[in-house]
Amino acid sequence: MRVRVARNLAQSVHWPVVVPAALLLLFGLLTLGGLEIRVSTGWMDDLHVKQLTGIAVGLALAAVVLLVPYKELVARAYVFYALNLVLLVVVLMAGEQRKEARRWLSLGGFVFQPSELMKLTLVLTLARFIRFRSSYKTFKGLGTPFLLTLVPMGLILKEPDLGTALLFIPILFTMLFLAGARPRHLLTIVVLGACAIYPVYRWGLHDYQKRRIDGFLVQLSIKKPTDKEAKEMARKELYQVQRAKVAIGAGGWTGAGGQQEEAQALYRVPERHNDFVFAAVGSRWGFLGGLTLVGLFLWFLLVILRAAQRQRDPAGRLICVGIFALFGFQAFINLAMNVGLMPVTGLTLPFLSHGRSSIVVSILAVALVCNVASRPSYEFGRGDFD
Amino acid sequence: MSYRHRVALLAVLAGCGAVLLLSRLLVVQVVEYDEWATQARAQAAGWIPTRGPRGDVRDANGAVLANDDATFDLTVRVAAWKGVRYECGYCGFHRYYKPDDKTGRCPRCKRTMYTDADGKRRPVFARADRRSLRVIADELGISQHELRARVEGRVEDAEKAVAKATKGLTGGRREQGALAAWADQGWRDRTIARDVSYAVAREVELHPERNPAFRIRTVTKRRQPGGAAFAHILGRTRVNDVRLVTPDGDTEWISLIQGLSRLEGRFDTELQGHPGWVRVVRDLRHRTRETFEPEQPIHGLDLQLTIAAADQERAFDALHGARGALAVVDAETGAVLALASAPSYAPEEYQRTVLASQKSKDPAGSPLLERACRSFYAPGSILKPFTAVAALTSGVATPATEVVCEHYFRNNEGTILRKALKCNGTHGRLDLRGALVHSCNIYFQTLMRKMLEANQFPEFEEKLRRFGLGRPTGIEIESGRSGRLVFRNNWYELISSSIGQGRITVSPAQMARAYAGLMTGYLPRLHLVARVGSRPTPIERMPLGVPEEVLGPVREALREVPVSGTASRYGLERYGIACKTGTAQRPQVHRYNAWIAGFAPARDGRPAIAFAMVVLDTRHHSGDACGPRLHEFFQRFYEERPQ
Repeated sequence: MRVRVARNLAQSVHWPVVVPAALLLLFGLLTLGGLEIRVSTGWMDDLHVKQLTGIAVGLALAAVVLLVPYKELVARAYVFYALNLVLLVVVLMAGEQRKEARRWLSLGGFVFQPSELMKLTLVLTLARFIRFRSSYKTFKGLGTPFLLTLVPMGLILKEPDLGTALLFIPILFTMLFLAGARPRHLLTIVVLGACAIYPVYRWGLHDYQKRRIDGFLVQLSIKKPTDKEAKEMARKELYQVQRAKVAIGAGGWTGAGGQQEEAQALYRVPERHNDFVFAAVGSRWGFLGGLTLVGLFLWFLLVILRAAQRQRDPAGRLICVGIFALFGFQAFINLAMNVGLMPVTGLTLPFLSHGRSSIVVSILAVALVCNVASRPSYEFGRGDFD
Repeated sequence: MSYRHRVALLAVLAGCGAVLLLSRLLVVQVVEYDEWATQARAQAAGWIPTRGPRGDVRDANGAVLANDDATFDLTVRVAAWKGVRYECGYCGFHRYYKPDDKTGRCPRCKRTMYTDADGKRRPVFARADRRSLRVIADELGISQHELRARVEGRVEDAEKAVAKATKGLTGGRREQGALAAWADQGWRDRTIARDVSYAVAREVELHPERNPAFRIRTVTKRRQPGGAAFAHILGRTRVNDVRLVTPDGDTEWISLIQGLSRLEGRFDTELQGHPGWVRVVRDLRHRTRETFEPEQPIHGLDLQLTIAAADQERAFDALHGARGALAVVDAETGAVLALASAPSYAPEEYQRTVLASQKSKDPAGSPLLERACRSFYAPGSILKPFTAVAALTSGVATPATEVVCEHYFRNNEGTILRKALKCNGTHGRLDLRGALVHSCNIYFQTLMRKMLEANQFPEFEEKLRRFGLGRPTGIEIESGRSGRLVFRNNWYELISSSIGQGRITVSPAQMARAYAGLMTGYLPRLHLVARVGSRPTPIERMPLGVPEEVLGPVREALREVPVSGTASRYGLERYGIACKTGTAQRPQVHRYNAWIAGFAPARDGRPAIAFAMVVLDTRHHSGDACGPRLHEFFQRFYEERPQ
């Protein structure tokens, strides 16, 4: 029995996906070392221990995911979706509050974010919904997938966690686009969404979210603040980005290491173990480190796309593309935020940022891709979207 | 578009994203490297202002009267004090501050925190070591109970602050507010004893494990060992946070001792010095790795006074706490040798003194009032020598001019002009010398009448001003007011002014200066400060232009006053003193302001001096109020002269 399980596990591991993912994890562990972040009682060792715990839990759960054929998971996607929605509601009612946000659930000492899990659940649910339908090819038929996406989005926005919630939109669009939804329909929705930007900004956002967007516009010189506003922004909204840019910029070609004065800038970056972990990469290893990291992510994403391309099963394809969108957009938004190309949204960098929920979900996503890639499909029908 | 193409498009999009990010990274890390690296270096290194020590104030012999001193304050961190660290009995969660009183719920498990049988929450840590508390209490000279009570008082302060911060909040917001307020209030160091001994500081600093709630705060304070005798001269200081601009153009705050009043205020710029800057580079753990000091702080200049501390104390002691003042000056140079004002206050108890003064029903007794050079009183008969000088210089009288004193002021025909103008006795026929010796009012009123008849009153006013009355003396702590010298066109008031009554007020320092002029023929500019740093105060004196044949008879007469005149019963003649007594009436309180002013020749290593003493609101006449006090002062002044 054990031999069979081990053999199944070994067969399920798709090395072309696992290798870049493992390298990214290693990169993350190296980056977190010596960040001088104090979490609870200890220093950086604690940070490592927490991250390694997350990786261990992630690997254990990944083993389960690898052993269960992905089609079984897709078949139960709606159950997962419903359970995850319940968890999101529970978070709103009894979640742990930190810094004015209620995003965490504490289960026996293990704190996790249901919103992180929802990313994966949404990919499975959309794959389940889209795989054998063609209704999404009509404008009206797009309603259900949007509804499936907007319900958890609304709950997550309520936490509030704007970054995670906004990530659902590109996932949905990418999966619909790949499944063959008409581009003009998607473009129409984009245009409608663009029209809704101002009302949402005006009435739908919290004050701190508005200030972040204002800060970003000021950074791009689109908006000119008064002297008082500029000072206030430099102290609040632009503070993190400005500090991150200093740390990254001072890294130069190869990074500012050791006791150099330039290296000290990193220790003034808030959330340098979390949302701004890329500042640590840029500061320590400079442009070459950034190039390596972006290269690794690109390699990882292309490998996922390759797996999607080789797969014949529509659900498998959708899962791969959904996860591609998940990692691709999350990484892009985070990196762009670090270098001042996007406003601060509070998204973590997959595999690198500290956070057990994030790391567990990332590993599970990799396991899911492996699950798909390692199981050749024998279904030939209309499901190949061609 | 086929599936393959759509996947390819996604791959291209991913590539584009990567290229966009890398180009931006190239710009930030390579093109703009210098700009960001400069900013990073600026962030890593910081400027710390260093205080230039404030200059000392020293007496004429170099003894310290005011200097900077490091003192220790014992403080308590409420959050670490026994009874404030709370632990949840269910999940073990603990915090160094109390949860909300109303809900009492654990922030983690949301259950009510562990409670004792009596319903009170149980503090888990009783961390104050009893033995250590006893050591601290003994050193502070209080009981352990008192020490604990003081700490509990600070705990109550913190609780009140938390209650204020959460006022109006309800439910979860109240709980959150309370937690945040405790996180702030609980970690503040609250003072429980100031200026504690080194032993207390040692106990707390060396054994933090015994009393983790206690801290020692080192405070640089201005110490004034001169005490109450110098309080009015030195004035007050306070520690003030001042914002400075760093060499990089940023701002940093520094606590500086700033002078507020008297010498500390007047010479604040000189005493202050100039802060320096230390450039600090911190390591990965924010510890100081490297420091260098490109700008050294500049030590404030020292002030050396003309007063010897012992003389000032003698003068202050001689007043015996009576409301009054004694000014003693070097008649030749104008150096102030003593400037005592009573009652006074201990510098370290200023605030308490202010509160006591505000509650007092007798503001005249305020110890905060400086009476030697900043307060002005009616001079009474000590003004008579100047009336004599004016009469002699105007030619309306000679030293041999005689007037018959029959108690009341009469005209040439013997008619009493006004009954209010009278003498204390009936002196009979007197010349100038006799009039000064016996302080005859009628004689000087008659001289004034003659001056008025000869239109020579302006000569009198001019002489008073020439002798420095109604003018600043030059003493560095003067208030800017110079007393009153007002003469209305009223015959009665003008006649009264000849004996120091009317609208004339002077300070003891002004009178001492005027008598110095009488003695030397020169009016010195008074000064308290002998040198600022290495720069000596220049000696200035102005010739009075009064001929010796005028001043000579007046001096001779004043020398006779302690021998056979109004100051003859107090032994002042032993020191060769020439003086004049004066008793200014204060009819509204049925009291007198008693004066003695005069001068003494150089002797026993002492310079020639001029002095003026006033005792206010006394029931005694001038001699009885001031004579014994002056005698005590001069006895010690001349006989206890330090080697």
